Amino acid sequence: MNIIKKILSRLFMYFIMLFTITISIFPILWVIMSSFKTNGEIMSGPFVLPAEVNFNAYVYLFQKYDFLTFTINSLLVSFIPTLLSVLFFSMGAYVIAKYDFPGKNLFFGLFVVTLLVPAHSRTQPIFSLITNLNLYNTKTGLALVYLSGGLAMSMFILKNTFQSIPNELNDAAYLDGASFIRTFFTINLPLAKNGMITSGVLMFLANWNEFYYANLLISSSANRTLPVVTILFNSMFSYNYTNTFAALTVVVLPGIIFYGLAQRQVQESLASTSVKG
Amino acid sequence: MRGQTASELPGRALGKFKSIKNHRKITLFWIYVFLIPSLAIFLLFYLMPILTVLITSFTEWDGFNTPKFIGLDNYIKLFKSSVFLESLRNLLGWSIIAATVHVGYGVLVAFILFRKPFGWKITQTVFMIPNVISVAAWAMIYKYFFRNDIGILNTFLRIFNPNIQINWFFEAPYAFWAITLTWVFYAVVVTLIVMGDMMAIPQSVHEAAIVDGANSWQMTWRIHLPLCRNAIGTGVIASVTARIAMYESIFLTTNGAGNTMNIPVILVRSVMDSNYGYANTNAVIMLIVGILSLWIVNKAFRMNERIY
Amino acid sequence: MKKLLSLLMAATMLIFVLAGCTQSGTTPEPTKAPEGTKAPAETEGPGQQTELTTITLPTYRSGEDVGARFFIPQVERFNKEYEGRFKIVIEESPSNTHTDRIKQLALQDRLPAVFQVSDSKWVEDYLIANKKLYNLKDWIESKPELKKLFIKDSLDFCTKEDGGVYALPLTVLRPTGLYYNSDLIKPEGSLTSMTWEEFSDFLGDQKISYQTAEGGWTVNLILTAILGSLEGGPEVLRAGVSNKITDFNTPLFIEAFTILQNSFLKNGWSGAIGATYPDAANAFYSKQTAILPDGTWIIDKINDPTDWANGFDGSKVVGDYYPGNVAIANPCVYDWMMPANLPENEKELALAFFEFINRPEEIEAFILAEGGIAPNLEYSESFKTELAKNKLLSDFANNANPDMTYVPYFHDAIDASLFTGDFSNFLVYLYNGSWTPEQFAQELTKSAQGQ
Repeated sequence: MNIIKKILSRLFMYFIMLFTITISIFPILWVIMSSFKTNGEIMSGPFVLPAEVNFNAYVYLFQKYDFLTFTINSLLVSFIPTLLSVLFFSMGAYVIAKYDFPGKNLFFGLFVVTLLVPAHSRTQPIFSLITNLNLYNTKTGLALVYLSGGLAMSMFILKNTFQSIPNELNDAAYLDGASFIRTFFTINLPLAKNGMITSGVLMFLANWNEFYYANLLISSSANRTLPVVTILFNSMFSYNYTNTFAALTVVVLPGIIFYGLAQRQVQESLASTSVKG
Repeated sequence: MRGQTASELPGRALGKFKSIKNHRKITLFWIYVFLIPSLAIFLLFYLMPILTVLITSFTEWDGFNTPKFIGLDNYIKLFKSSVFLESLRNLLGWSIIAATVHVGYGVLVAFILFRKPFGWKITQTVFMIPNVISVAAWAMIYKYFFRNDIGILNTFLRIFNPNIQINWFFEAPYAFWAITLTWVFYAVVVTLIVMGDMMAIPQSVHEAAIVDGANSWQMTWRIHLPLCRNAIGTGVIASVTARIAMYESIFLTTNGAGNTMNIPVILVRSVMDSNYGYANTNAVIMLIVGILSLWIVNKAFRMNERIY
Repeated sequence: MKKLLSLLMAATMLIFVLAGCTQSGTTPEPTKAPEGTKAPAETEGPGQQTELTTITLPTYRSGEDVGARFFIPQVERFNKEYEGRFKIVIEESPSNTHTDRIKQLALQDRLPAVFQVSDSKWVEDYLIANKKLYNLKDWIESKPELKKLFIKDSLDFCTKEDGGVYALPLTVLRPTGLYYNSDLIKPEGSLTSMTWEEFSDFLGDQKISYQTAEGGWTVNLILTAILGSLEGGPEVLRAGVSNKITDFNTPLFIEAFTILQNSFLKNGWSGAIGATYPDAANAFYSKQTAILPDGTWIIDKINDPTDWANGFDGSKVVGDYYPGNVAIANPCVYDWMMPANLPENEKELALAFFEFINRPEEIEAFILAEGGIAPNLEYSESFKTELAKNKLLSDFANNANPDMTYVPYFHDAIDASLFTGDFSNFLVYLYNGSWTPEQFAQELTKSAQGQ
């Protein structure tokens, strides 16, 4: 009886995992496959394998666009703001999760509703801020905007992470005479690594794929980022799905690989901390 | 865990008693210092948009010239419009599905991955992919997935009933479910949040449970689920908020046909017509609904109470 | 090992940052907003006082855009012509964000010295209403040769109540017609001589590349043409451009919807429901349909064999206008503009550029590249021989006739959100016959009036 139960639960587990992998990997496989097909092939047989595999679209992209510069720009404007944001939001989420103070709910509410601020209402203030700081068409300007992207989501994740760290640790640190700063940096931050990496990864990927502000605030190709290339081939009357999907592959794959590596890092670091704990 | 020092606490606490008041002040000071960076980002990037939205929701505004104050006219117009009521109904439906099926699926995957079965790392990694695929790709994928003639979904359904003809994009009630299908299983954020909480469960809790003779599913039900209450609540808030702001899933599939309007669709359409006052009225409603659901979930999951 | 790796990564990052900083430190140009910069011309000898005026021009007609093929070389020709005096630097502004960019630059009073933007309503309500644009009237009056070339309707449209002319009027009109595949249908002469009924009979089983999604662009064109051929239709469309149509419960619209629905039921192809423009075009390029309604800007695409399938041959395609002798063109648009209060040197540059692009040889080059007609220009002989070499362009030139009715697009006569929203959504029901034309008109009216 127990064995059957065990087998059934195993089967169920693997079914769910298989289903998750299928629905997750299908879109990117489809995009990659389509980058080897012509427009006609994509539209008339969306799920048929390409008739012949050639790299014309990729050759075109790499010849026409300076992917090295774009990649470096993308890395800079995605990675640096993410690092800063994770630190900033961790500080904010930490005090909200651990302490009671006047205005706590107000602050948390304000941070959370930023998720619902419509995009159209942000365009004008952001554009005016960036031009007034004389940062139009600079990577710094774009990176500054990217600081703000993950505010709400990070607050969710990080507040939750800090709440899951036992409060006794802080009490003990206080009794040991540890300062506020030290309690945060040496006791709480190491244990919040998991949440920090999760929110960091989400912010990094969002920045890595962002193209609206990348397009609006950058005007020279020396400062362009990768995702901008993915929207060039589709406008009202011209369409080139082959190039669009090739560009998408070139942009999305590195992001996913980065995520995979980061994930591995978290798992290893977590494995080591839980042994110590 | 590091709480072992607990036995030494009382003696030390007495010695520190006098400085407690002073300590509170210092702590309060640091609390606000820690809030400064997040608050600065809020002030720089969100305060103006929120204020503009609030104020101009009471005006007639083309987005560029001086707004004209018209009182509650926009709100009256909104509440009278059948499209808005339809949106509220849909939002309620989607929020319930998000809080149950969507979050449930994310939690289920988290529990499975936490047992580290073969292939769990790759599952966790690829689960993120749907989040990073661009709108252009999704538009095409949805189109070929839901099409009546050659769409995957109908081809699959015809295995069971060869006569099936469903136009997912414009026929109620199917259209509602078509949109639901575009997001309901993509719950990687919930999975990550819940897994984070599970990994933070002290080893001692596990050990105690094993000593008590709990089998693995009992452990999940009796220990993990209650201990992940906060994470699940967070997941519910995040996914309900995402429903309030849901635009692309609709725009790329039904675009509101088949009774599938949502508030952001009304908002974007008003922006297209340079009707920013009315658009921002919709935005205010979104903000209010968002705060309301935050409050409800907070209460329901008792999220301000500590678990440990 | 892992630690070392991450350290290395951090170090590389730091180097990138530093490199980025020094880069932006030494080259001030990219940090500048698109405003004029004066720089001494390198080509001038010592003692000469002329200075090079440089402006940046953000344009969507760059990069991968179809318009880039003509426009970028044109700007290069301008720069060469005025070498040492004027220079225009192209700034790629992909069409997705071009309108937003121009609007935001306008709010910051940083408009480029010359620009194009497609949102006419915004130009009127903001730029013109707030006197943000340069009045071209005096300049146009001082150039009689140029003034002669302007299309009258366009000049009238750009002339506002105060008598000022705030945008460069058009010299070329690009009427939109349709393409048919002569492998599938062989009309005698032009389709323009047929009525809609005759056209439908003539088509028989052949299909039209309809699409319902994204505003139903190709349906929108046929509907425009139908309205244009009906009594009173052209006037309604023209009036709608400035005062959007919100009542479709009129005999005119119901008749037009009836004709449209008949065409759907008889000549609609099977994939039209939910189809976007690429689907509709692809159906034409694979011989599933015989007719593709669209403008002259796709001529290159038709001649490009990449997407041909099922024996389709681009050289068999014929360009024509619509039954009922209708062509679609909207002269009532704001094309090139320049901001008021430009520094003198930039003003000179902008005006020189406007004059340059309307030189007869430039107009002819434009028509040869993107199609269109310049009604007030005496074409040169070399132009006529070149035009004859381009089959589709000459089709459109030959099939145009003096009696043809020109009407603006239906989508310009209704609210933008109605077009891509409910008009597009409701088309499905008209297409599959589940709604009558009357029902369609009623629902559309309800939606337009926000009930």
